[in-house]
Amino acid sequence: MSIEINNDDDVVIRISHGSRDVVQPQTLNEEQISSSHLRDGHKSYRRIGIEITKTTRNSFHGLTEVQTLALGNDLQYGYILDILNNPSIRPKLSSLLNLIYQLGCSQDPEKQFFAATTMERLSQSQPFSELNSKVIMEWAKDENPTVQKNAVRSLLLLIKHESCQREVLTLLNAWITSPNPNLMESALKVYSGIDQSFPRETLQAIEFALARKNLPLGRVMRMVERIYALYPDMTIDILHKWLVKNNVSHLKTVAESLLLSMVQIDDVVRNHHLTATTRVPNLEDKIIEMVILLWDQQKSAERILNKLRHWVYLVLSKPEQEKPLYLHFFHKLYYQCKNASNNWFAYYVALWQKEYDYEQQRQAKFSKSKMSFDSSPQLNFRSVIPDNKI
Amino acid sequence: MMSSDGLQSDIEDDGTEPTAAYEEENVDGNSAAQLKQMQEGAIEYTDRPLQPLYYARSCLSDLFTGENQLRSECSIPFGKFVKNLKQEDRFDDITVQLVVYLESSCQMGIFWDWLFRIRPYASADIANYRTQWERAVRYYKSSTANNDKETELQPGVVQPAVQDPTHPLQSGDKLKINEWFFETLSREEQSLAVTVGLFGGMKIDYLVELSQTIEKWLFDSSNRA
Repeated sequence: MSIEINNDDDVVIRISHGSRDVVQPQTLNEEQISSSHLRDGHKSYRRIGIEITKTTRNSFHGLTEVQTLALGNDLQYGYILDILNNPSIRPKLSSLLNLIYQLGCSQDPEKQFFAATTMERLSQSQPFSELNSKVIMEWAKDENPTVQKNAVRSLLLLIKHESCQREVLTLLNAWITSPNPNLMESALKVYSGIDQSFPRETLQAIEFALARKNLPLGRVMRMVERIYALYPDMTIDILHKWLVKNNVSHLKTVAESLLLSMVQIDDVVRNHHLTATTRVPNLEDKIIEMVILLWDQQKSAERILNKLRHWVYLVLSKPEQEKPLYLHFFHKLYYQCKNASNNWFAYYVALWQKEYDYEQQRQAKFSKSKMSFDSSPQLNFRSVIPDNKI
Repeated sequence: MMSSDGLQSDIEDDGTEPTAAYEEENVDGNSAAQLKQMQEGAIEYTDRPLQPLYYARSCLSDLFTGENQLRSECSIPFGKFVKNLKQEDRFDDITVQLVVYLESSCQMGIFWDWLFRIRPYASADIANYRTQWERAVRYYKSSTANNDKETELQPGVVQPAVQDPTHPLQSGDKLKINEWFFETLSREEQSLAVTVGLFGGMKIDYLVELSQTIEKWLFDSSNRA
């Protein structure tokens, strides 16, 4: 590529096969001119409606500027791609898709990236099923993770367009239960990318897949955790469904582990502050139901007890004016347990109080001998039981 | 989607094993083993901090009554961020975008200090959230395990081309565009136009190289399916 100044003061950029070379100005005859519009640089670009513009790349050297060619706006990209539907070009489309597929299989990240983004552009004028069967699915099936990534990337781009959302989500649902591990892997990667924008769909797909096959549980849990970070109430609602209304052991185990690891006492109270439209109905009851269910299972009883104890400590350490809503939760739990043959919650609260009192006495003795003064407030565990009925 | 380090990693900073170390497993084999371990209660999840975003969201939802209040109050210290928000962004969208923005511009400290300043009565809660946030970020910071969201080539925004207002592409008339494309442009120009239409934004050398392949595809009659 070279730059020269013509007589009419036009800057001319010459391009010959992408390499840069200085071309001496020479007089071209009519035939040469007509066959080499492209070589007339800017003039030719202007005829097409494209311009040399700048963009950036994150490279080894940091953020670098590169030159590219671009059309004016997205609409114009659409007009150019509509031309592909012309009867003279349309029959050749499958070989173009093959070309894009090959581009995605190259080793060059630049080519790979743009092969994936081209899918998004083509989706505006071509049916999704064709793009999927000829390109995206083939990338996803590939053993090579960098090629697989193209499928993930293009689906992540396509799902942003409302016209493709349903189709992409249906496709992902099929892939996540597919016997082909590469397809399942691709689906998981896409779901990890959309878990916070499509939380309900992601959770439904996980539920659907876990009921049918083994998924890598660690990754599934991380996805649920990310969803929980943004939609705690909805996630607890779904965990309740998995744990209480399901008989699939995978789902129950995942829900149990996530409940024990994630759910916080603050979630109960926060739900009270939400407006009726955003509030999950009976969230408090659902948490209580899950707690009691876990208590009834021998393997999880100790762990849920530890969690409850931790919650009681947290609530008792809060300022008095914040306590009522939290205490309401424990009072409800107490009444639920009261219906059982023996109230284990009341029993353990009494036990925790005893342990606490003993620990306080021990520390008081220790601090006396050390001549120090402990100013920490006395915790009254009995307040989590209605009317201190221990 | 968000892509800040603090929100995505999985192994503790100090080198100790995380309590809930669900590392990458094979699709079937290890997950079954892990399931068994989980059923036996061998893997404890209780002490592990939640995702940092959880604490940020909880803090914001405690301190602000809704998205409008969050938008208006954020506009003073983080005006640039609020300008880029869309009208349809809801509270959760704003939270994610705000956290990503703050992390990428290293303004998390400024953010917490600002919260202390505007909500002095809730300083104990904010301090608590801040501690938990920092713990979670430290915990998830140096992870390699969470490779679901991979780093990838991130090209910047392509500056829009300045165009002649009389250009047929500006008219939007499809007939006129077809006529211009097939009758006015040379073969090379047609190929370059299609190449830029498909791959615009790619490095210029690659585009020129690709336009030759596209030219072959466009004008080689053997390509018909």
